[in-house]
Parts: sequence; C-alpha cells; structure tokens
Amino acid sequence: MSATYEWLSELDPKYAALVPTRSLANDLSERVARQFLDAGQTVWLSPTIIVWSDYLRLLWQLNRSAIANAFGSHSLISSQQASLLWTQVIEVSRRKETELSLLNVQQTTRAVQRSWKLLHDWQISAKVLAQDHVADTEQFLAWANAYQAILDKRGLVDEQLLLSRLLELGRENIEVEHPFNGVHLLSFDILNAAQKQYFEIFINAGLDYQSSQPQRPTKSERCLEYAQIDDEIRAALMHARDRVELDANHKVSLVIPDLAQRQTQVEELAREVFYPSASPLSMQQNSSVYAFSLGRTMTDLPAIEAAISVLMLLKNRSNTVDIGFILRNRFLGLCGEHREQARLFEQWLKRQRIHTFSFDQVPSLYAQSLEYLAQRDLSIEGNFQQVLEYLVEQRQGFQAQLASAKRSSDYAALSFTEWAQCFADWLSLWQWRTAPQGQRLDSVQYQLEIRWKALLEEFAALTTVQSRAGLNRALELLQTMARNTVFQSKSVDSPIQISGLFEAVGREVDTCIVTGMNQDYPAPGLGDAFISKRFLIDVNHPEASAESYFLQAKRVMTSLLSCATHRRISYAKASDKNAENSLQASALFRSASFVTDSNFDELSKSLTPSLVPLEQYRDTQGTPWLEPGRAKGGSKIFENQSNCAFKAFATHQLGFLSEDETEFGLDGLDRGNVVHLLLDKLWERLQTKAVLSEMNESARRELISELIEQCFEQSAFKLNSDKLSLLKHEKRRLLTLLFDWLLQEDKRPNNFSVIEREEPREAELAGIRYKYIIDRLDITDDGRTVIIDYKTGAVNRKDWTGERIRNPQMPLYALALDKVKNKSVSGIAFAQVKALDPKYIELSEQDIFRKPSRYSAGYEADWVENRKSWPEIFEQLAKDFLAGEACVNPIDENTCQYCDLQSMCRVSQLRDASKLENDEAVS
Amino acid sequence: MIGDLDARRTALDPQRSFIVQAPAGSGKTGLLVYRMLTLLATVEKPQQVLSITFTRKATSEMRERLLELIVFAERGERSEDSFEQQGIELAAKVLEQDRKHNWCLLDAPHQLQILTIDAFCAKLTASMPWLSRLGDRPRTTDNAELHYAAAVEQLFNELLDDQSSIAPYLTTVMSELDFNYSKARQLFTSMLAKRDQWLRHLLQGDLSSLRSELEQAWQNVISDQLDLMTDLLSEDTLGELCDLASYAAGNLLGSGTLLSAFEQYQAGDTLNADHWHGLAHMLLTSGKLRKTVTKNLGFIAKSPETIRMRELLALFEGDIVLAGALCDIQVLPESKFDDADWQQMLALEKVLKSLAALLQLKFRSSGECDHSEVTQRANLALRELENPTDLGLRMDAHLHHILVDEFQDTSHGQIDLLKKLTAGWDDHSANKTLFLVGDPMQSIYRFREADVSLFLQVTDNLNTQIFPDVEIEALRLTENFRSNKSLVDWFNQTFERSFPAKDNVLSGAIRYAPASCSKNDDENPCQYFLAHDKDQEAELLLSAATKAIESLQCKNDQVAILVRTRAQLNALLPKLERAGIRYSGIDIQPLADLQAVIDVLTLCKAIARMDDRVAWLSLLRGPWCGLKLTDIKTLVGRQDATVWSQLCAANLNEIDQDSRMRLERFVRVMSASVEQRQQVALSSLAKWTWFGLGGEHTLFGASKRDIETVFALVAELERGADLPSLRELDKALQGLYAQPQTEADGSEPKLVVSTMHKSKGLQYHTVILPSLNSASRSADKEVLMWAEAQNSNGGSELLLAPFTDQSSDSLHYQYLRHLDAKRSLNEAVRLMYVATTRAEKKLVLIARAKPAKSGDFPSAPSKGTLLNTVWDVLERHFDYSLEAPENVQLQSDLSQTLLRLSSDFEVDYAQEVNWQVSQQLNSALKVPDDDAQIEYQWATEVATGVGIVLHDWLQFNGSRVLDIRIDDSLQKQWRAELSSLRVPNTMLNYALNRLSTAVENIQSQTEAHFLFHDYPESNNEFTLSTLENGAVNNYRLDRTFVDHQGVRWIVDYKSTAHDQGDVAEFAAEQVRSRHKAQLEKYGFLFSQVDARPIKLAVYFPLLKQLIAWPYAASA
Repeated sequence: MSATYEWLSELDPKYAALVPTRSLANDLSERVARQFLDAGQTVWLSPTIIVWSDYLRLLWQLNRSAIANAFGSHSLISSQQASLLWTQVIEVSRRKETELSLLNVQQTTRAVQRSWKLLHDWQISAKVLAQDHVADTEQFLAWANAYQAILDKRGLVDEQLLLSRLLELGRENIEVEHPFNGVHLLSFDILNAAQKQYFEIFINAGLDYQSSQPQRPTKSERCLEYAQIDDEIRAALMHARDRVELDANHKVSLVIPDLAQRQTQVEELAREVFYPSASPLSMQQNSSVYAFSLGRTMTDLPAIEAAISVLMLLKNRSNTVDIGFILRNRFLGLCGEHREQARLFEQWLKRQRIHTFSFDQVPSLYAQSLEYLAQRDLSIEGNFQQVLEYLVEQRQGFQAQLASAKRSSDYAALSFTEWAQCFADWLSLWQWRTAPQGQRLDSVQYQLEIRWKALLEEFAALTTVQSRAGLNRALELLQTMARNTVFQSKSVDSPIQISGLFEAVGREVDTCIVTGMNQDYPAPGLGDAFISKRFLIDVNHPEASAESYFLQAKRVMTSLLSCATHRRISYAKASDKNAENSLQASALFRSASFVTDSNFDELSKSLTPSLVPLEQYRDTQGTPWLEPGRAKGGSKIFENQSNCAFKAFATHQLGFLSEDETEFGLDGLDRGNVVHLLLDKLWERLQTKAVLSEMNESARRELISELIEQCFEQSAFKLNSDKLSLLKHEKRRLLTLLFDWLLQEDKRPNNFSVIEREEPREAELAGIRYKYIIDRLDITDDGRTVIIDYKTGAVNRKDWTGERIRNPQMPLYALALDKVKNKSVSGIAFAQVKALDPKYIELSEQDIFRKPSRYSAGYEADWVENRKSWPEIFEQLAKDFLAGEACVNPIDENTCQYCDLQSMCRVSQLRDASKLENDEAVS
Repeated sequence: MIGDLDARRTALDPQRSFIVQAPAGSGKTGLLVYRMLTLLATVEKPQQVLSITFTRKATSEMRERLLELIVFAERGERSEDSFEQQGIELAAKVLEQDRKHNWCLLDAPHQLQILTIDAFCAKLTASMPWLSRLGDRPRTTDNAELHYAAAVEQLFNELLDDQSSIAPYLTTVMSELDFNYSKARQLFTSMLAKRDQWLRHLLQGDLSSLRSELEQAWQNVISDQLDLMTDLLSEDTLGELCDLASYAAGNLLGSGTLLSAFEQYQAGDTLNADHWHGLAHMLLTSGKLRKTVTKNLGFIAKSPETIRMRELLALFEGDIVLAGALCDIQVLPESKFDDADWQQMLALEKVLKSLAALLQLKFRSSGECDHSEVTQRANLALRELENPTDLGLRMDAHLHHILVDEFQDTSHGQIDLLKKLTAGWDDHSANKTLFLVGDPMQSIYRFREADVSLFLQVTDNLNTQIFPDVEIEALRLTENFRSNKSLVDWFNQTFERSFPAKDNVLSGAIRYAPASCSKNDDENPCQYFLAHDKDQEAELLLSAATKAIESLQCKNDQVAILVRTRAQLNALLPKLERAGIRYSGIDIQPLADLQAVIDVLTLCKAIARMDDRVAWLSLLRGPWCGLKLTDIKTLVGRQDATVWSQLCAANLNEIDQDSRMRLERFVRVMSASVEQRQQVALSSLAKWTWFGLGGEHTLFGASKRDIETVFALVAELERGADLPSLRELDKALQGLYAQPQTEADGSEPKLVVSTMHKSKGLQYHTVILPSLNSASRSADKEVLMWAEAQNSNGGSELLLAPFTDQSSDSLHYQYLRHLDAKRSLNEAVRLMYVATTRAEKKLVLIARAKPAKSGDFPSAPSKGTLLNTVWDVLERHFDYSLEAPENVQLQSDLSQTLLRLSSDFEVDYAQEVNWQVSQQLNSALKVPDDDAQIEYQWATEVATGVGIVLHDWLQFNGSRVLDIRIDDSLQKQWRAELSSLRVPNTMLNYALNRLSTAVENIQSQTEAHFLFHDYPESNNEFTLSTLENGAVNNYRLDRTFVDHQGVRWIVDYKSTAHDQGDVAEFAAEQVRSRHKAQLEKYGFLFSQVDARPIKLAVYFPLLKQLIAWPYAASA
C-alpha cells in the first residue's frame, strides 16, 4: 500500500473516507486488506470507505424523522422510481399536445432528471430560471412543479431533494445528524454547491473534515501518436503487458476515455495481447491479469436478452424471426429439452414462409409441422405439443387476470408486484436460467441470476410510485430498466485496471497509460437540455464557460496523472467515426510534443504472422449416383444441372435448400398458387374456348367472382390465416387479372378444349425418373396438343432455347408427353397471367396461340429446331448429373444473383482466378 | 494579377451579406475561412458566427485550416505567400478578440461553430427539446432502413385489422400497386427516407381543402408553358401553323387524332391546351421536330399546305429550344385532377401520413431517429419560437453571422431553416450577415433534394424575397487556381455550349459561367479514346493510368479515375490489382463481393444457426477445412440431421488421411466454439474461431481491417449473441466497402479511384473519366410525385401527382416524370463539369461506342450518358483510331482452381505468458452447491418487512429508541417503508402493530436497555473483515459496544414472533439451532482484534427475550 493511503487502515470506525467512485472504494478496500495481510493480521476492522450516494442514504436514515416532521416526506425513492414519476409527469403534458407528440420520452425523462439534479446540486433558483421566459425552461419548471407536487402529496423525497431538505433544516437551525465524527474526502476534484454547503454545516458542528489528492513523483512521461485507434489501444495494452511481465507487483492503470463505447473492442484486443489462445468465454469466467472497471448493460447479456424475448411473447403477437431466436436459445431449458423438435419446427415455419402469427396459434402450427414431417416419413417423438399447449394455457391465464382487472376497474392492469410474479412465473415455465441448459451455473452466471432477481425486485418496488400498469407498459418499463442497469460480476484484483477516465482518478498506480487524447478531448460539455449555461456562471459550475470547462478537464487530468510515477499519454490520428479526417493532439497537451511510437511499428511487424502458402486444388467431381433410378429431385434436377452443375450437386446430393427470410404479405409464390388454383377452377367449369366465347363480359365476371368466393368459403387457398385475411383485400385485383386473362384466351385463333389440368405423371429420361404435373393440356379442334404453364411474373422465350436451357421444365414435359401420347406435342407455352401484360409466350407450331405471322413463323422454326436438340441436351445433363459432375459453371452472372450457394461454390474466388488466367492468356 | 480580386476583397466585408458564385478551383474554402476569421474578429462570442458545411470532411478541413492560421498567428509566424499572410493577419485579429473576451479558442476550439447542417440541427433541437418535440437528444443514425422497414410492416398490419381506419385507403393504394408487397415495401421505404421532401406539404392541412390551390398551381404551369410557346413562335407563324393544323384535321376528320381539336377551329380563336397538344403532335415525332409530313398526318402530297408545312419545318430545323418546349407541351396535363386521380391522391395522403406517424412510433420506442427527423423538428422548433431572439437565449449566443458552403446543393427544407434563422434580421441594431457560397454549375445532389434553382432565386433575392429580412448582394468569382490555363480554356469551350443557354428554375437549367486563369501553359490538356469493347476499354484505362502515374513529378500529385457508378469499375479494378497498381478509393469495393468476407459471414451464420446447412457445408468446403465434395457427401450427406451432429458421429475411417487431418483440426476448433455459442458475443466468438481456423492466412485480397469491419457489423446487429435476422445482416453489408489501400510503405497510393460525386472538392494532377457512354439507371417510379414551382409573386407552389395506374399514369404524373427527366439531364452536364474540373493538368476521356451504320464513325451516344452532354462539342475528337481488338480466344469456362490451407496447418498463437496474478482478495461469489433455481416470491412476507424496518430503526436511533413515542409521524414513516418493501396493503396494519409491539417491548423491558445505551465505544452495523480460503469475507454485526466493565458485547437483533407456548424456551431453541454458531463466529473474529472479554447476545424484542452468553475461545 502506498504511503498516501496508509492512514486508511487506522481509520477510526467513527470516521469515513469519502471517494468519488465505487471502483476507487473497492480499490482502496483491497489495498487496506493487503496491508493487514502483509502485516500478518488475518482479521481486521474494515474502515468505512463509501461514495457520496451511500453517505446521503445514511444522512436520510439519521434525519428522516426530522425531515418527516418538517416536510412530511416519509419515503426516499430510488432513481428508478423517480424516473417513473417523471415519465408520468412528462407524458401527461404530452397528451395535451394536439400536434406532434414528444418523440423521445425516455431520454427526455433522463434529461429532466439531470436538470432537476443540476438545479438542486448547484442551488440554482427556480425563480431566477422562471424569469427567463424560454419555452423549454418554462416547460421544465412546469414539470418540476408537477413532480414536486406528486412527491409532496405522497410524502416522498428523492435524492436530489433530500440534500436540499437537509440544508433547509440547517438553515432553520434544526440540528442535522451526521453519520460520522469526521470525513476524509479522497480525490474529489470538485464539490457542487449543495455539497459545499453541507460540509460547512458539518464543520460548524465541530466535526472533522479533510480532503486530499494522491501525489506521486514523476519518473517518466511519454507522449505518443499512432495512426489508428486500434494500434493505439493495442500498443497501450502491450506496454502494460511489458510492465507487468517485468514486475508482477507493478500496478497499471489503462485509461480509455470512451471505454463504454468500445469495451467489446478493447476486450478483444486485451485477450489477443494477454491470452491469445484463450476463448472469449474463458476470459469472462476466469480472473486475469487485467480487469475492466465497467460492466455491461443487462440487455447486452445474452441470457437477459433471452428472458426479455420470452417475456415479449406475453403480448401474443410474434413472428418467425423472434420465435426462431427463442426456439434455438440455450438459456431456455424448455427449448433445450426439446431441441430437435424446436429445430424442426423453426425450419418448418421458415419453409412454409410464415411471417407473423399469434402465440396462441403456435401449438396448431406445431401440429401442422408434425403432419408435414409425417408425410415425409419423419416422425418426432416427445411431448413438445403438450408443452406448447400448456404455455398457451398459462399465457391465457395471465390474460384472464388482466381481463378480470379490466372488468373490475375498466383498466387491464396489474400491480408491479403482480407483474413481477407473472414475469417470474412465465420465465420459470420456459425454464429460463442464466446458464445454458444442462450446464451448472458458474459464479458469474449465478451473480447475474441474483442481479436479475434484484432487478425484478426493483421493478416490483415501482409500486411505491404507481399502483398498476398494463402489459405493454410493464414490459417496456422492465426492458428500460434492464437497459439502464449495468451488471458487473464481482471484480477481482488485477495488476492492470482498464477503465474510463473518471474511474481511474485517485487510484494510485505505478504506470498510468492515458489513451484517446486527441483533439476531441475534452469533448465539449453537452450542456443541460433545460437550464442555459448563463445560469451556471453565478454558481461557478465548471461548464459555465469554455475557460472553466477546460480548467476543470485539466484539473482532472492532473489528478489522474499525479497518481502514477510513470505516465504515458497517446492519441490516434485517424478518427474512427470519419476515417477521412486527420486528428491532432488534445489541447490539454498543447505544449507536449507527441512522437510516433516507432517500437510499436516494429513490434506489429514482428507480431504479424508470416502467411503460409495455400494449396491449389480442384474439386469438381462429386459422388456419382450408384443407382440412377433413385436420384431424387424430379425435373428440378435438369433445371439445376443446366443452370450450374454445382448447384445440382449441392441441391440433390447434399440437400441444400434455399431459405429466404419471409416478409410480410403474400409473396410471389403465394400469388402464383392463388392464380393457379383459380385458373384450374375456371377451366374445370369452362372446358372449351367455345364456352368461354359464348359468355358475355358480365357472365365472365360473375363466374370469376363466384369462384373466388367459393375458394374462400371452402378454404381452398392453402394460406395461413394472416395471408388469407390479406388476400380478401385482393378480390378485385384477382377478378380483373383473371378477366383480362380470359380475354387473351378468347383471342386464340382456334377453338380448343382443356383436356387435362394438374394431372400428376411420372417419366424417365436418361436414367432419371421424375414426377411432374402439367398445369394444363389443351387440344385444338384440329387435334394439336399443347402444354401450358401458368406464370404470374414475366417470362422469357429464350429460357427454352440454346445450348444451356435456363428453364428446362416445359421442354422436358414435352419430351415426356411425346412418349405418353405416342404423338408429338405441338407446342409449349407460358401463360403469363400478369396484370397489364397478360400474354402467351410460346414455342409452338403456328396458328395455336396467335394468328400466323412473321413472328410466329420464327417461333415455329425455333420450336422445330430446339425439339431436335433437346433430347441430346437432356441426356447429357442427366449423364453429368448421375456421374456426380459438380463443376461451378453458371450460365452467366445472373444465374448466381439469386443463388444462395455462393459461400459454398466460391464463385467469387473462381471468377478472380479466371480473370487472372485470361489475362495471362492475352499476354 | 487575378481578375476577380475586387470581388474577393468585397466578400470579406463583415457588414454586408453576399451570395457568391465560386466556380471549380476558385478557392472557395479559403474564402470561407477568411470570411469567418474576419467575422470572428468582430463578435463577442465565437458562437455568434455559424458556418454550415456540406460534409463532415469539409467541416474538419475548414476547422483545421482556421485553427492552423490562429496557431501561426499565436506563434507570430509570417508567410512569404501573400495569401497565407493575409490569413495570418486576419487570425491575429481573432486572437486579439480572444484575449479581450477570454474565449480560450485554442484550448476549447469546439466553440467555433463550423457544422454540417445535420449537426447544427441536432444542436438546435438539443437546446430546444420541448419546442422541437424531439425530446432530449435521441441517437441519430445514418442508416434508418430498419426503422423504415418496421414502420412499413406496421402499416401493412393495418390490413389485418378489420377495425382499422387506414386499411380502406391502404387497399386503394395497394390496388394501384397490384398488391405487390415487395414493390410496395420498396416504394414506401423510399418515401420514408425522403419524407422531409413531401411530408411538410401534406402536413400543411387537409389535402381535400387544398384541391383548388393545387389545381391553380397546375394552371399556372400550363399558362407559363403556353406563354413560352407564344414567345417562341411569332404571331404570324403561329397563325399559319393553326391554319395548317386545321387543314390537316379536316383531312383526318373523325379519325380521333390529336389534331381533332382543330376540326372546328376558326382563325383568331383562342388556343387551349388541346390545340397546343395538336400542334405539338403536328410538329414533333419521337421528341424531335419533324423533317416532313405525310398523308397520315393529314397532309396530302404536293398540296400547297403540305409544301408550306415542309417549308416551315425546314425553317424550324435544329431549333432545340422549340423542340424542347413542344415536348413539354405534349405532356402538359389538364389543370383539374380527374376523380380517380384525386381519390388516389386522398388515399395516398392518408396512407403516407399514417406511415410517417408509424415511423415516429418506431423512433420513439427505439430512442433512435434519422437526420431527417432532426431537421424537421429543428424547423418545427424555430417555427414555434414566439420571438426569434429566443433562439439566442436557448443557444446561449445570438447568431450574428451565418455562412453556408455548397449553397447550390441546398434543399427547400434547409432554406426554410435558414429563413427562420434569419427572421427578424431587418433590425439593424446589430450587424448581421448571411454569406452563401456555391457553384450552381456543380450542383449534383438532386437525389438528396438539392434544388439548384434556389441558388438562382437567392441571387435575385431583391425580387424573390427568399430572405426578406436580409439584403443580399451577388458576387461572382472567376479565377480558377486549380487547373492549367489550357484546361480552363477547354472547360470554357466545352461547357459554354454544353450547358443550357438559359437559366430555368423549374427544370433546374443553369447557364455556364466562364472561368479565367492567370497561369500560362501551352499543353494539350485532353486526350480522347474510343474503345470497341469493355476489354479494350479496360486496357486503355490501365495504360492511361500507368502513363499518368509515371509522369507525376511532385510528391503529392495524384491521378484519379472517376466514374459515375461503381459498377463501371467491375472490369477495371481486378486489372489494376493484377497489374500491381495500388489505388486508394473510398466506398469503391463492396465488402460483400470479397471472398474472405463471405467466409467470415458464413462462419458467423454457422455459429449462430446450428441447422444452417449451407453455412456448415461451406465451412467444410472452405479454405480452413478444405474437404472435397465426395468427403462431404460421405460424412454429412443426411439431410434430416444437422451437419454438426453428423460430424460428431462420423466415422473418420471413411475418408483418407489428408481429409482426416483437416477434419480433426476443424472439429477441434469448432467444438470449442459450439460449446460457447450464445454465451459470449457472437462477434467475439466468431473472431476467435476465425483466427483459430486460420482466417488470417485466407484473406484473398481483403485487408484485416475489412474483416474487422465485418465483425463490427455483426457486433452491431447481433441480439443475445445470435443473429435473429440474416436478411438484416446481408442488407447491412450491402452498404459497406473495403478500406482504401495503402502502398507497402504505408503511404497513400498515387492512384485514386472514386465516384464523381465523392470527388467533389478534390483535385488531381490527371483525371481519367472512363465509361462515359454508360447511361444511368432510370429512376424508379414513386407512389407520389411532387415539385415546387415558383409563382409570379415569388412564392412557392406545389405540384402534386399520384401514381395511379400501372399502364397509364395520369398526365400530371407523366408531366412531373418528364420534368424530373429534364432535371436529370441538366444535372448530368453539371456532373461532367464537376468530374472534368477536378483536373489540374491533364484530362483523359474514354468511352466505348459502336461504329455508326454509315461507316467508321461512332454512333452518337445515348441520351442519358455523360458523353452525350459534351458530344456536340467533342465529337470530332473521338474516332476509331484504335484497331478493333483481336479475337483472342478467352477461356469462357470458369477456372475451377480452389485454395485451401494445408492439412498439417496449425495456428501460430503469439507466445503466451503464464500470468502470475496476485492472490485475489475480492472473491467471486460462490455458487450454492445445490445450484437450485432462485425462488421468486414477490409479495414480501410481513415478517421480512418488519425485520428490515426494525433493524434500520434500531441502527439509526441509538439510545433514543428507549424514549421515542410512536406518534403519527413515525407510523407514517413505517407505513411508507413497509409499503416500499412491498408489504401488501391489506397487511400493513398488522405489520405496523408488530413494529409498535416491538418498540413498546424494548421500552418496557428495562433489563435489556443497557444494549441501547451510549458507550464511548459503540457501533451499529459494524464490519469485520477476514481472509478465509484465500478470499476476503466481510461480516456485518448489528451492534457492538464495550460496556462500563470493559466487556465487548456483540448483539444480534431478531424480529421473530411467537404466539403460542413457552416463549423463553422458544427463543432459547432459536438461538441454539439458528443463531449461536453465527454469534460465536463473530466472537472468534473479534477476539483476534480485541483482547477484552467478549459477550454474545441475541435480542428478540417481539418475544421480550434477551439471551446472552460469554464468548469462550475454545468454543
């Protein structure tokens, strides 16, 4: 223990040391313990080392009777409770607004709390503020009055008001009781006006008051500059590492002013510097040579995020993304117990392209997923279905509680205590814990679980300021509280302490490394949202002027640096916010000369691993199909093989399935299915063009409308309930779309009959067996058969032609049907059922889809020519596929645009390699 | 001697307001800095001068330059450069003012108000959280796409609600969009992103009450357009044309052509819009003036009318202005909206307003908003200010001077803001000035609603009264300091003819203002190349860049390749890389295209999703593991189980030794990762895994910083150590680009590759402009189109048109599309101007073209290309002097060569130190052995509440507990405390009774009073510390004191109650079974620090029992 703090171990129990931060209090307690232990003492009386807010709480306890008698305040409320009260006050004013409402109530609540604190800490007179007649200040004062009125009415007092009340007692000569006979202020850079007044009373009461700052002699001081912030922090860590490596007792304080914003980055760098092979988790669980003074907000912790996500299910509405997160979450024992069921369920939801649903629907959706799997000969065991049903039942139980509250008081709300119990019960049903399912809690997880419980207790304690809340409000509050709560597991004593600037002040160390000293430090004070700077001048607030602000920053920096014998100050020239800007050193060090850390550059080079040579290899041959007839994938095999052999292999041999995240509404596939169904129904009725042609416009419209209604009534559209509801808005669109399409059908030059619709068939081509369903088969009155496929998007005739056929499905049907019918099919056509652009896209003999013309003659020529080449092309495709050919050979870049296999086929890398090879060929 | 010296001197006059047209290279930033210095020397607070810049980079540069001059002045330095010396002298005056008013500018430079408009608005709203209704500083984001998407989804959700008031309107709008959710999502999102442009129009009031106003605005446009036509055609010619039209209409009687308006025409009739449509139809074909007329148009061959018509057409030939005006006429709509359009407009109004409101809800719940919201709220706050001087009160300084850079790119929203900031400036008591600098010829940010016509209007402020309270004088700089004279001449010759001949506010047309140059040179400044195909173009570009780099002589000189869109670089960048030419380029190489980035994302996806089959298979095939497809099929071919589970159960004997080694290493690293998943941040875990797999060795051209960027992105998007939405990740990645390259020695490369927009404000020795023949993508159709037109009173009128039907948009909509296209064309020539004027010495223009049908000459470039903007002037320079490339047989199949780490690869971790962490005294909390789930019981039991309150009361009242009366006040205090401990209301009286009983018992039980007496040595809640099992434990004692006999007492209070039976026996039993060991422990600890005899006691006030016993060391 340094000489500066030796007196602490002899501190009389009736005295207290007052320090500005908890981290310094912990550090000093640690030093005291070491001193006793070094002296051979294993038991000792702990000196009182506390922060101001704890001191204030003691003052409250000692003087609460006097305050109650004088002001009627019986309860001291916490900051969270005060925050809720302020929110109530602000929201009431918001409701009065007819125009825009206040966008950011949460943040404003915090700002108002800050202004309220400023008002009391610096003894700024509300009367003086009121004279300003500035709308925002007036509004603040109105809020403050309302807030104060609520406090008074309910006999409450908050921390800010408390000290003011005590000072008022003092002014009225009512004796204020003090918790200690003497206090020693350590490393306080500044006292606010209220604190100063309090200590005047303290001293006047004959009590002992002292104040001191640690002061160590300077042995070395270096000012360094770096190119990048990463380099700067890495260099600082490496320097700390060097010092501790040389001397295990060496204490280092590494200061990163914006640590809160870059803690993850620093944690990673520190791990790389000190424990390069250690995993991030092991660093969280084990003590190490360095420690961070900052914790994480609770919502940043995965277990808490899981808890909050599960609580959100109480609202009922959910979506596949959120439910997926829950189903695969390891902190929910329930999902862990049913891991495989949960996994398959999530997969099913995605494949069904289900976007949103109510939680109450989950069991029925799960049942559907089971049916789906059963159809594919996959069965899942277990009672997940019952579990989900039980959860829904329980959720409905909570809802019933709310409904009952609504019946009795017209407001569906519960008390915070009830909500806390409800939330805890719901989490318990999900078997939520802070350790992954199947693992024992470690110390950090245990502490987190305790902290979560404490948070729920704090949440329940909101009852003091608000009797009840609705579900949304309760969830929002809990989430906000979790977001504003920092969790830090009990820290261990480490030789290197990494902290923000204020946490480091007062901590005596051998080396202090201060980073981030660029021109943006000290950052300009943000100022108070409601109290103008000019009111701060009279009270000597450090932010009153640029000069005082700068001096204060300098004072803090001096205090910080004087705690260490070796000092190292640095900044990085590149800003990470705007890489194009070059930064200078902070004005605090204007007279210092910063030099480039040449050691770091050399060290960095030495640390950069020499790259190992990579092996070149080819991998285009997959496993051949030993039993060709069993190749699975149907006609899709030909399409994939034709578009890219790799895709065919990945899809049909490795089981690749594209899973795009579903978005709200009916997608292209849904729209296509709806139109397919309706057209099928239509032609079931019409049968021939002749019938269609006989119908007038209104009869056609009537028929279409009737069919649409019928499909809705009979639940013929295979859509989930949300999509079905949405489709009801589209009735007019569907009517127009189909009506316009029938006009196209009517334009066909010859009469025809629809001879088949959606007929399942099976075929075999070059060793590949496949099932197929043709949307429609027409026969013209002159006996020609054509295959029709409905498409709701734009299609292209070229997709059937050339050596690489993009869309081989229809040619394949044509070839297959030739064999079935023993007669050549006369054409294939896409029926492009698209709003404003309905048309047939065909490759056929003439006079089937349009009257003979120059254009249709060309199509016939293409039809004849391609029919000749198709068998050979398909045979080759089948041969390649069965042989396991898996070359990455997309037709062109468009083929890859919507393919999800790029990470696996590595086409980007192959393209680069090709360009290189081509360049070499040219040169 | 430079030609515009007087203008430059005048511009520094701190008493006058100016709008300065400062063309490229005219030293605009220098002028702004000097003006700012001049103004700073006249004010009391530096905050009274506000300088608004366009980008953060410009802010930084201006601040840096200004502070540098102040530092020079402070050091008393002098410069031989007269311009710089002038700056130092101005800075010296600022220092004088600094000293006089104690500003400490160099210590606190943030007092200088040099801000982007976004930053200024943020500052403004932060000082008026209530008036702006923004509340206190929400986080602002550059990328609010997620919020927009959430709001749009919320809007769509209305369709699921039968009670929704907005659903019918949304259905109307969606019908027009064919219920295509994907398209609607895209259009609505884009509308939200630019809501600052339309929302203020819709918020002006109920649209239905504005119908006549809106139609009047259209009427004004029509009138203006028709007036323009009558200006262009003499009365005689017009009369003749009408007669000819009447003749043609007569020949086509009843055929329903556009000329039918002339069927009943009589000479001297007033022409209406239909007549004009007919005339335009008669004179134009495919947007160009006809060369002849035929019987199809009603002109019979060889008739006198036909001959006369052909004569007139010959007269009109080449009249671009007439052709343009007739084109405008063709799309001129009726002033009235038809009912269908109007209904659609009303529906859109409701939907868009509702959408904007939903976005606000999203902003509110997230505490984050976009810059546009802040700007809108800043405007609102300024509007709400009762007195303009209040602004000074809120910002702690009254604004006296405002400087605006890049004024040509100002939007209507920003002008509104400036108007409000300058409101009340007609009061001459304080000198206030506005200084607006820009170059309308460089206005290229229309996509951000920059409206160049505002520059024109403010230049004519006297008439337009845009700033009614400020007298603004127009100044023009001409001198170009950047480029050589030969280049400046080239600019003048080229753009004098390429820019429009006349300014036009509605179509954003700007005339060219020639520049001057005092430097002399006689070089040939520009080279022109025409390539036959993309490959040849890339070769040309590579060769031009190489030569240009070789010719650089000064250290700081650079060569730039500037393109209109990044896609134009696709063929070029790999060529540069293979040629070993390094280049720096900001936002050029999309990260998503880099294989190493794809690999990192795949790893993240695999860790987050155990059943992401593609991700896992990709990892197996990727360079870190490098398994072959056959092995993959053998090991993990089943599709019903996860890849990982199959790997864990795989029989490795099925694969060869090499593959086995690869797989074993992979599984070893991934096992550790899988074990930790969801417990630590995904980004950290993935990074650690990436390193462990050998990621550092497989960057494939990406830099480590690029990889860091991807991990940072993952960190930003992850939730609960998972990636809930992979789409969000992919989307977010689309906006990221690789870091600029550096030379091997860390210096900046000599070659810069940039988009033209990004190059604004920069200068290079040589500028190369490739792909000048590439057309820009046509803009998507919006659901609503709008434009602001200036009326004859100088006021602004709104032109609105809804997107109605997909095939036949309304004429209003078509007209605004047409206007938009014209504005685009006008901006294209300005973009060309910006790009070329970046050059200091040399310019290289490269394009591809096909030979014209007529021969070797290249065919004219298409309309939307940059080449087209200068084609008329430069056509003669472009020819096919290059040979068509030989038909080299290039390999059309993709290379199939993959790369992977060798099978014996092992990661080389930096040397580890076995850190000897000193003994830890603050022990981590121990987990109970049973690891039982913590019980949650929220309704605190009465006993606990009573216990806590009683302990506190005893702790803080000392000996007074023996005298205190339980009055109302104390009861209230207890009640409040019990309540805050969540004792149910129904139990409060019961608990209070208990407390009262306890106190009464204490006061009546005299034999226990000694516990509460004041002793010289006494403490409540006293802490003893001790080292146990290597950790420090703290023990808190309820009370300890040393009595008058010198005995140390250690006392524990217990609030246990017992209603039945033998109370004394009950208490004794409680002590024996529950409390004795604890007290003995305290006794033992105290005995280590206090040699006096010790007595231990448990006091039960509710039982009126005190049980005490001496501490015996042996115990």
